[in-house]
Amino acid sequence: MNPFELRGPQFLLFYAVFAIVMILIARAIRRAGEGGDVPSGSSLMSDAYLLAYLRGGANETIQVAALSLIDRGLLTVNAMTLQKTADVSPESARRRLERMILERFTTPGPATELFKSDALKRECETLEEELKRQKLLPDSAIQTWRGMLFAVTLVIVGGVAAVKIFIGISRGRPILFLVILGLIAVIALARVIFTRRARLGDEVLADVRRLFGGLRDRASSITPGGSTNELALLAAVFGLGAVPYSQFPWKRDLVPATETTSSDWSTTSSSCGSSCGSSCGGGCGGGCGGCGS
Amino acid sequence: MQLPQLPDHVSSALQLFAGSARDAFGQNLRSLILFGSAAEGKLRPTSDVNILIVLRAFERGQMDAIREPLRAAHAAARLQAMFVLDSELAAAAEAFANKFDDIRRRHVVLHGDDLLAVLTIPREALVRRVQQVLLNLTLRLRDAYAERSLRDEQAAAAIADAAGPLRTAAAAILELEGRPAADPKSALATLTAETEFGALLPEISAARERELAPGRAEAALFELARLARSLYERAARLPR
Repeated sequence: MNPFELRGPQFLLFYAVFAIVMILIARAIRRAGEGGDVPSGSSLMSDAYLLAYLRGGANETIQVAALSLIDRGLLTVNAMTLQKTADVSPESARRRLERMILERFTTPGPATELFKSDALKRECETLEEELKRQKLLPDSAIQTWRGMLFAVTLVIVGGVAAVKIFIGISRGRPILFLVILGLIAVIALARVIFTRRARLGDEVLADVRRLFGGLRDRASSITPGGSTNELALLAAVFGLGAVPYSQFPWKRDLVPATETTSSDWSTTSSSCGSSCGSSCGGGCGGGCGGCGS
Repeated sequence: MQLPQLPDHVSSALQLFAGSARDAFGQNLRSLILFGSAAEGKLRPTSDVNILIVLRAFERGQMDAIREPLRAAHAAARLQAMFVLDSELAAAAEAFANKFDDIRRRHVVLHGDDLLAVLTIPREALVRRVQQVLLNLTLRLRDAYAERSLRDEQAAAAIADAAGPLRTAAAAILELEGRPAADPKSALATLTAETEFGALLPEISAARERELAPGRAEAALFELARLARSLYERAARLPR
């Protein structure tokens, strides 16, 4: 049977199934090609900022850093305005990202400024480099491999559509639906191949979520004050949506501003959704309201 | 590394932490020992996971390397670590005889030697320490009754907090009386069954599981203070 002889609706159905199969194959090939072993040891597992960057990128990391600083009393938030706590020296923070946030808010400023700072974003790039080095985010080798995979699958998926479009035009048949379906297939293909994280990154994140599942379950009993790293790890792994308002009421002053202006809004939104949807239950209700709005 | 039956996230956290400890301390790590309810595989959601880290020397660089893994393990599994030098072990066992007696009974070696198997806890030290613990518990429970029993949930929390030390002390008493129990919970069951406090045991268990019936905590807390006093008197009669 020559599929190119199929009539319009039948070919559309054939092409939809063909494209889905090709996309699944492309996904499997991408994952198989992004080899490597999950990093051993716990250096990644204990670094809240690396985990936050792996999960959501620069804005998530900056958000987690600000959250941690507020909890530790080094930064204060009031009516969506941040300010370094009086008498606190930025040098008292160990991480450079934290020091830069404290220096930025030596004078009061809106929380949205967190995401407008190129310097903070540049600082986060050091985390990106580390994650690329561990092949958790796509490094140049993975990106090249993905580009080649996309080119090959694009030729196949786009080529089949192009041949039928050519036949349709030559026979004077309507081709609009096929053009639309072809575009959808190519976009889906690109999304499946050019994911933000590498396969190892997805696996590590899944491992980390299992590891800290107990922390999410007892989030409402985390003691404020920063004596532990629990708040930062909770926010890093599950997003700010998992941080309970009951324990950290000042989150109301921070979250609406940061989440609605985050350029990485979709990530923030999805992380919140997942953390609430799966197990937060009653404890997280308010947090998700903030995310969704 | 043979771990008892534990929730997956606790097992993962323990394995990660054990690996970090080996990396951080190297040859200085003499032994890594899991103790308490986790070692028995009877961890409750609110339980801490207790680790004894026996070192040959206390060196700053090595301690610096374990800080972040320890904080992560605490976040993941409520892991609490006790750092002791091998040269301090005997003195620590004498000073905290009740605690180390419990560790000796309930422990799993994750790395290195089983130093607790050869640890000697002087009977005199254990008797004295059990008395101290029970007297301290008695005073604290009286205080808790006075301050917290008007609020049911606070009284229940005080009962839950006291249950662990009470069970450990009960196990030590039975051991000192020459009839060791299988575990601290059954030790307390044995002792209460021999006294007027038999009915209190289910209430203690219910408080630990946060399932104590409304209105029961106040009376149970008062009885618990009396039970602690009763055990103290029993410990005071133990020959040294």
